Amino acid sequence: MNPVGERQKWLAALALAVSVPLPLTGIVTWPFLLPFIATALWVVSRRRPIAPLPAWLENVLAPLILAAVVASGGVRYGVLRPVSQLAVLVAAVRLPGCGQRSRTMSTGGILALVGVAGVASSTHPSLALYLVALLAFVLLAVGRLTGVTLAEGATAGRPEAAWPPLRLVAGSVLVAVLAAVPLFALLPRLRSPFAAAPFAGRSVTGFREAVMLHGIGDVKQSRRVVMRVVFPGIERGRVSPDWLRLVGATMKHYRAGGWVEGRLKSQRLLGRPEQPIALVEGARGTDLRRAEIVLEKETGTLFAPEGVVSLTLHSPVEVTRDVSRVLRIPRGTELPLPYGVEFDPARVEQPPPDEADLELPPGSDNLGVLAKQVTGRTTNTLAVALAIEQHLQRGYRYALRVHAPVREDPVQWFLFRSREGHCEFFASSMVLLLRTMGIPARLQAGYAGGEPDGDGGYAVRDSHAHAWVLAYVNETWRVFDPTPAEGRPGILEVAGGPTLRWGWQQIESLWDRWVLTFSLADQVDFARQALDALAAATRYLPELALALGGVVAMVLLWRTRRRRKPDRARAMGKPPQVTRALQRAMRSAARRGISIPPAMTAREFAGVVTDAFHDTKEPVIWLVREHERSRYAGGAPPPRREVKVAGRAIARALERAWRPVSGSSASP
Amino acid sequence: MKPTAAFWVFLVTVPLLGLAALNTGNNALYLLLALTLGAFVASGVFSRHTLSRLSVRLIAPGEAFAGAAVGVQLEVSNRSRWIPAALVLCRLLGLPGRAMIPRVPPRGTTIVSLPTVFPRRGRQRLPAVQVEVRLPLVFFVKSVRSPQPGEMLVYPRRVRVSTVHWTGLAHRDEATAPGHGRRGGEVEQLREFRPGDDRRDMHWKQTARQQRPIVMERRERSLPSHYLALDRQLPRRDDDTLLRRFEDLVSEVASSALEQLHHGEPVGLIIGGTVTPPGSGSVHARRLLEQLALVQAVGPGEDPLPGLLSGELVYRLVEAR
Repeated sequence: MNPVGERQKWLAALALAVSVPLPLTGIVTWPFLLPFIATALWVVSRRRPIAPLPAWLENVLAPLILAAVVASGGVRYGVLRPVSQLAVLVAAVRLPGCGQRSRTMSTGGILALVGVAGVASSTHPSLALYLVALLAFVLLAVGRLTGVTLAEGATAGRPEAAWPPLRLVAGSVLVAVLAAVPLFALLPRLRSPFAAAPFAGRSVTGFREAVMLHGIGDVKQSRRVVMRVVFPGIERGRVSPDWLRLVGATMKHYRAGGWVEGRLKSQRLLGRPEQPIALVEGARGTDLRRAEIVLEKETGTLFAPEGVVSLTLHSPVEVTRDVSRVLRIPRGTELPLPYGVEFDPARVEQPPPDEADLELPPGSDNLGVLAKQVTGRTTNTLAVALAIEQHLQRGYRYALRVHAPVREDPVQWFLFRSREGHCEFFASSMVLLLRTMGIPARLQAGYAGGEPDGDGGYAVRDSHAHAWVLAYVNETWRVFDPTPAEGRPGILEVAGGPTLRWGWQQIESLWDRWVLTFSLADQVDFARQALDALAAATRYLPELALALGGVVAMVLLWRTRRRRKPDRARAMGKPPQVTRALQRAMRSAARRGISIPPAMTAREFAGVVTDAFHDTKEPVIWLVREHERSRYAGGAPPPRREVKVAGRAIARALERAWRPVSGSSASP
Repeated sequence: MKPTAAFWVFLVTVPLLGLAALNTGNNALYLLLALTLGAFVASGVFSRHTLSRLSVRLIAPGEAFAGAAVGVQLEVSNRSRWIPAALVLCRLLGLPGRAMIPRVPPRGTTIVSLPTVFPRRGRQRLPAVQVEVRLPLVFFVKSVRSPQPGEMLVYPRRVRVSTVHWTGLAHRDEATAPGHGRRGGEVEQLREFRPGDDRRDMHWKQTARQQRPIVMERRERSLPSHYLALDRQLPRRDDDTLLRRFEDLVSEVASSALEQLHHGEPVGLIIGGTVTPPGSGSVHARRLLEQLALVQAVGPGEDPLPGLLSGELVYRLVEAR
């Protein structure tokens, strides 16, 4: 067993283990990943230690690695990607020769960095299984390497069998997981004041009032339920996806790569619970639908379909409406908040267009050129809007992981460079392209689509957050959605039974709710609930104290008895159980004619009795050995049950051997 | 409990990981951090569990010479019901050598031989055994010392002997008297059996012929006998150099005696006023070695050699001038 070779093999195996999430999360691209995996495979397959690369070669490779990282985008897409890519290439260089003691720690550190990057960029529920497997792997590796290291310096022992016991590994993993669950819940979810703003990642998808396209970081698919929507009297199959387009914000000011809207001129809506509040003056449509919504996540907004005409509150809450017809509620309103809306599916309730709906950011000339190329000579505004919508849907790719460079306009970057992005990029681009063609347009954000919740309604989750376009064509506001189909959330119909898919969705839902989106608010909720429970428990304080005291007393009594048992037996001069069993066996043998002088030792007895009664050999020898062990060798006494079994076996053997003799007429 | 390098790495890494999690609000990092801390807890729990359920017993070697490698047996028992003890390292406190036991099964016992060297002769307490565990994660070396009851006798160091200095009693033919237990030698006479005679000395033919029990009286073959005389008086008792030289002297006497006994020649030993008559065999050798293991230097005139040895060759320390 070569310690250097062992270290080399296990470090290379660790490299392979930490590389598992990298291609799945995309944090490291394949050109960087392939040399890393290939080197790890090569090293792990070699039995003999590999010499490290010459220092001059490492020095030559260092600037090349840096150049490769810069060429792949540098810090344009955040810091995590370049750091990870740098780390995998450095690890690939350091892996040969990593078994040498001087290089083990540094290589292990780089691999740990790669592992952290892979974990940090993972959002899939399988991450939990991966982490558990990784822990088991680390335990095995540590056990093996420790065995090898100890065997190096040991002057005795059997180092060849130095694998950690599987029971120990499994137990350690179990205890680690059990300890990790409360730790995960208790670790404070405070954002550090040292977090640099440009590098702050958006943690999850979801509705945002201010759409900032410059956000850097991975967008994660959260499945946390935001609201539940029921359409009373409508069968599920007849619900149109457009009815589930729930507006949360309408924006028309595009500035510095983002859409923002002031909250001036908001109007307070007066109404009593259960009484409809009219949101539209004048004529109401004839084909009105009703939706009952229960808001479960605090967003400060009451979401409603496009053509909402009235609002019915089921509990007293202060509602305001801003100029863009968005309904708002105060932050901190008690949730869940149920409310009902009536809406006209054929209408879009918006204020008429103004100059702001045609605003363009400086340097948008190329947008106009593109819009003209796309629309050709079409003059019909509806045809122009449809052409731009189709162009974006067909010519650009939907991607969640987009990092627009800080110094560039994100729409320009999306349209002319990256050609991939999420719904906000598509909607923002279409709004600006429409404006270049003189068509008033606004960006709307909210939720689109939902999943059947099993109670006849739809669960709208964070992952249904979406952005789309309102364009004023043919003297009316109309909805356009330029996002490609794969990025457009819709109504997901799921088979009702407990299918595998349903089960997996439940797991994903739990994962998203309790792991990915677990936040300070949840911790505060837990703390509040715990305090409430404590306050409620104080009513039964005397009973609880009594019960607790009883339990503690029982435990202490049990422990004291357990501790004093041997002392008491010793104080009373009572021999241990194994010795008593041996004495019983001696008396029993004496009754059956075996001569047992007072000074006979246990071994002499064993010799005599096994000569006379062969069947007693095994239990007698065991009993004598255990007696000697506990009496003279300070060993732990054998289990009581085994002593009893041996005693019974001796008694039975003596009984069997005695019967034919005593029953025989020829016996003296 | 002694922290290892892995612990210091852990101590640096975990705050960094925590800072990264705090800074990014990334729950995957929180998950990793929680699992890392959980692994730390698990490691502490299991190493403590393992150590608290290990017991060790030292089985002293049959004979041990100072300065020579000898194997002591360690019987390591694991009282845990479920968890095997792995990579248990045993050391003898104050003595060189360590033994690694890869695995002690639950409720099982493993015996391992640990080569070590006892530096000094004499009666000494059995060394305490230090049991160390490291797994499952090597953050700490946790150890427990297990004092061992009992004593053992370490014989003097064995050295190469060039010349043996026999006293004047050497080469004297000594006729051993016939009597109990003397069964070797030639038959000197026949006589009637007396109580106490060895029944194996019965002369059966004469007994049958004379109709009374007759035994043979034998005369031992004369053997050359050697005495080694050790004067344990030192000119000064508090002189470390003299004491070291006295140890060398004892080693030389013991080695000479052993060499002679190895060749089957009887050897006697005179230490101060104590005379051990010549004898041979392993029992006699052990007797001599025990005396030499326990011999202590004394001051001038405290335990002089018998007067008849005056002028004879004696192992004695004299001060160099």
